[in-house]
Amino acid sequence: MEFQAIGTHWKIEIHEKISDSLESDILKSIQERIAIYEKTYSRFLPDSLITEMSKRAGEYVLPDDAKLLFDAYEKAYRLTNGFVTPLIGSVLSDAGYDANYSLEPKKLNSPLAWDEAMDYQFPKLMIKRPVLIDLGAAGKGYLVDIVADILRRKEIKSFTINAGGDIVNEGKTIRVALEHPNDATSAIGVVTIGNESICGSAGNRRAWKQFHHIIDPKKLESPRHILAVWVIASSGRIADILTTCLYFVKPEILQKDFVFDYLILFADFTVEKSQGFKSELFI
Amino acid sequence: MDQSSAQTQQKYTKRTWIILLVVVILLGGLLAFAISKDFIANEIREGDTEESKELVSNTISADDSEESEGFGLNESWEDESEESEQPPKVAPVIQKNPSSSTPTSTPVVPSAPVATPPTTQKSAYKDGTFSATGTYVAPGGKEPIDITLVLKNDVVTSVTVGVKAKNSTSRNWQNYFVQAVNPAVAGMKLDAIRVDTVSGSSLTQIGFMDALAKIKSQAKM
Repeated sequence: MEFQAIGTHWKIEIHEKISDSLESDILKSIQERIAIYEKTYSRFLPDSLITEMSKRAGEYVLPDDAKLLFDAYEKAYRLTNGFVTPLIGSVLSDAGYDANYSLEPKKLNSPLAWDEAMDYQFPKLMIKRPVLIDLGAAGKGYLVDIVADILRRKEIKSFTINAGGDIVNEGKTIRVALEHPNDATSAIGVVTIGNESICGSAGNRRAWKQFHHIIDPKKLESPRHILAVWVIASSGRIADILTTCLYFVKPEILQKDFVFDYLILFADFTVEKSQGFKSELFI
Repeated sequence: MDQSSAQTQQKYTKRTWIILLVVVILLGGLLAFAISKDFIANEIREGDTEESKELVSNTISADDSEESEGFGLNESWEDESEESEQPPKVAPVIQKNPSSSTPTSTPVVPSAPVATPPTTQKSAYKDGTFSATGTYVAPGGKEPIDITLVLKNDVVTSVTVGVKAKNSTSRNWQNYFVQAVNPAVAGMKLDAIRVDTVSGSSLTQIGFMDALAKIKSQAKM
C-alpha cells in the first residue's frame, strides 16, 4: 500500500498473502494513528500541541508515546553538545522552512539552550517561554516504528515499510539501494538488512537557497562536508536521530550510548563506514 | 538654347564627378573592410587569451565575494538557486582550444566569435597535472584553497579541490564548492541493479515542491 503522510511518500509491503479486508483495515488503522501523531508533533498544523507550545508557555502533559521520542532527543542533545536539538524549529522556520513553505530566509538566531527553554520530566514538559520545537530528526523514524507495531499487532510477520527513505524491515533479508545524493535514478551502493531499520539523510531534496533540511544551530548554516549518511539500528527512531547526529559528531561519540552501523558519504565522495555495515559500493 | 545646353553640359560634368567620387569612396571602403577583417580576427584571438587568463585569477578572488555573502541572507542567492544543476559561477573550468572553430564559453565569460584560425596552431599549455594553492580573503581572514587541474590538449579534463580553510565556516563554504565543482562520481543506475527498496533523503511532498516551483517561476528573468 502507498500513500502520502507527514510530508513524504510511504510504501508498505506485506510479504505474505492477506485478505483485501484485512489490508484495508490495516491501512485505516495506520492512517488514523498517523493523524493522531501529527496532531501532537507536527509544527505544520495550526492546532497541534507543538504549535500551541510555540505560542504559550506553561506546563504541558505529554502523551504516552512522547517518552521514547523525548528521551532520544535528551540523549542526542547531550552527546552532540546541543548540535542536535528539538529547539531547531525556530531556525528552520526563520530560514524559510516554515509552516507555509515560504522558503524565504529571514535573520537567523541560535536557539535557546535546552534548559533555558524547557524542563522535561516525563510526562510533564514545562515550556518556560514559547518556543518552536521541531522533532524531524527522530519524528519520522519513530512514526515508522509505531506503524510497524500496528502491523505486528495485526499478526503480520514479514513486511517492509519505507517512509521517504526511512525503512523498518522484518521477516526477511532485503537489499536496500543507497540512493546517489546527486542522482535519484542511481545508487552509490547496496546494503543488506534483516530485522532492523535503516534511515538515510542527504542534503539534496529539501533544499532551498543555501540551506537543506539540517541546519547547524551554532553556525546557522547547513553542513556541506557530508553529502549523505545512512544508519542501521534496531529501531527507526534511533536510526533516524543518529543520521542527524553524524552530521555534527564523530561516530565514536555516539557509540558510547547507541548500538548502530553507519555509512557516511563525504563531499569529496570518500566513504567512512562501520565494519558491520554490510554493503557493496559502486563508487 | 545655347545657355541651356551650356548648363546641361555643366550639370553633366558635375554629375559625372559626383558619380566618380561615390564609386571611389565605395571601392575604398570595400578595400579597407577587406584589410580590417583580417586585422580584427587576429585582435580577437589575442583578446580571448587575455580574458581566459583573467578568469583564472578572478575565480580565486571571486571566492571573496562568495564568503562575504555567506553570513548574510542576501538577495544574490536568488540567482544561485537557479544554477543548482550547473557548476556555480566561480567554477574554474577553462576550455581553451584554439584549433576549434566553435566559440569556447564558460558560465561567466561569453567568448567573442573567433575566425577560423590556421589548423597548425601550437598548444598554449603543457599536458599534465598542475596544483596550486590560491588564497582569498574571507570575513574571518585570509584562507587557502588547493586546486589541482589535469590538462590535456589545452582542455581541463579534471578539477580537484582540496579544502584547506582554517575557519570552520570557510571550510563549510569550501565544501559546498567541492560538491559543485568536483567531477560527478557516477553510481549505478537503479534499474540495472536488483534491490528490494531504496533509501535516501525524504521525497518531498507536493507542498514543498510546489513552493519551490513557484519561486523558480518568480525568480525567472
